[in-house]
Amino acid sequence: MSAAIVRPARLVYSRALGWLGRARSGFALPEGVTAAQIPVQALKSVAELGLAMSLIEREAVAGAEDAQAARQLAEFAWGQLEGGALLYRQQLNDPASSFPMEVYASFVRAGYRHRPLAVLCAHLVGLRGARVRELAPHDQLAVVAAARQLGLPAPVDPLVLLERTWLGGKPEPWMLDAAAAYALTHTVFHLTDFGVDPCGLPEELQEYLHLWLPVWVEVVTETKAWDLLAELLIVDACLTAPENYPQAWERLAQAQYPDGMLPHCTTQAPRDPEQAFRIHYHSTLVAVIAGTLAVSRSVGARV
Amino acid sequence: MNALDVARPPGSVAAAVDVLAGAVARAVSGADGAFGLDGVVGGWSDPVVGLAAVRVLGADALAPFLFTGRPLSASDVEVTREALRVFPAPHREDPGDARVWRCRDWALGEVLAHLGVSEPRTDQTAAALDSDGGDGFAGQPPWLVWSATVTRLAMLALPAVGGPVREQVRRRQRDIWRGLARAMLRHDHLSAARLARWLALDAAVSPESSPESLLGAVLCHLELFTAPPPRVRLEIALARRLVEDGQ
Repeated sequence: MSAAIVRPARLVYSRALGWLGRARSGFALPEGVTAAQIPVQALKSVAELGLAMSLIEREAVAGAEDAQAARQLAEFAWGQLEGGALLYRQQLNDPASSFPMEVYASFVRAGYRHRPLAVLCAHLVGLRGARVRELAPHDQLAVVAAARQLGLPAPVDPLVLLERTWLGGKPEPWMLDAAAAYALTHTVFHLTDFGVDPCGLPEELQEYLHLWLPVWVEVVTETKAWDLLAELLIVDACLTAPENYPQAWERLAQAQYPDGMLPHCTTQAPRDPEQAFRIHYHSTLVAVIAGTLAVSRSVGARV
Repeated sequence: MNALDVARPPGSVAAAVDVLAGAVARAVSGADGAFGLDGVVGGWSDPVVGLAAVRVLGADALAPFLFTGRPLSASDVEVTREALRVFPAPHREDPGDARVWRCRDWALGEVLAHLGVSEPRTDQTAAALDSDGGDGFAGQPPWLVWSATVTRLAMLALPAVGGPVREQVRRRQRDIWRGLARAMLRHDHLSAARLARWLALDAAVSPESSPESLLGAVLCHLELFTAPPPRVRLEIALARRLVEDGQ
């Protein structure tokens, strides 16, 4: 079954990568403002771009042209962050924030470094304050995952956090709403480092997902919630034994616009490119990650 | 549906089905120890809608007698026979639809036989299931297709009715659960209740790996969140009774 998804998955991520390359000015951060004045959403989009490109680099299943496009996008994103200096200034301004470290960790995965920021992160992870952040459990797991990427000790035991997540509670499957679904997907992403360590997710939760993920994939496909579907397909790729869902991949490929943009849901893309970018950049980035991981798991390219 | 609704003769088959389903649900739940088909539909000004309701509910209309052990009265038997005579199984081009009718009539025959009423009938269940309904049911169809099919065959989920479908359900509990979860997420409460009923049939003997502990939660959820219409209420009542009797 896994071979059946290679073609649509590769098509989806390659086309999405093309759209991101053409739309990359949408990721540009405002100039002439202080680090604190940069809108959170703008910084978040650059962070997500860096994350997606770091996974393409890590999985190494992209063709030469796509790999080159990914490197250029990663370089662009790192440039927007002034080679890490912007994150460093943000961290100096707001020592309690975990955001700069989380963003930095993605770029470290892609091979970028900013030594002063790394030193700052090591210091902050060791503080008592890092153990008692008032964050949702799956957001705490993001901090733990970033620390792991930077080679730092986990500020909190991830398995303790896991018990407090939606997924960790193994809820009734019909209680899944959009917020729970995104919490679930990110719990899996962080625990498995986007599939590189499937065993990071305990066996009983893998079994829980094998039981209910087919239902959620089916319902989300039917409702054309493409962004969430792509995230659930990433979850599948993070499991020890992925199911692959060839029909869902075909539907995702059909939903993708000819120019490579994956619509967030049934919303028609606005004619204005800036508006279209704001609404649909995330789903297109998720498509890149989902396609990359699906191909990687299917061809067994990961080492 | 309240007592006033029951007293008012329904003007359509759909309304008649609701009235009868409500009455059966109450009887199955133990709230009406004097239930009888004739007593519910016999006095209506338009007898045809009552017979149609009996035909639509099929074996389920006789469920109170299965659970209480009370014998069918002669008039109840007569109402059932009249419903079968007036509304014979329709011809259906779609093989899946045709199979549903064969199965529901087979189930009705099984229940009547269990209640001591012998009717001339043929054992059609094997043929019904072996025939390809366009969904590969006789093989090993995916959970989505299979659970949709057994949803339509929920009238077979009665203690007096065994057969190949029951055996498949017993083997594929996880797939029933998947279908049920999907129905809940889609707010398809009738399908959810029908699949819960299938699960209730085997609740006492479910393997530990199945999520049987969710069954009580799903039934309660359906009751509290959906203001269930009579046919959904009937499926829930049957499921609850099956769970109780299985313990």
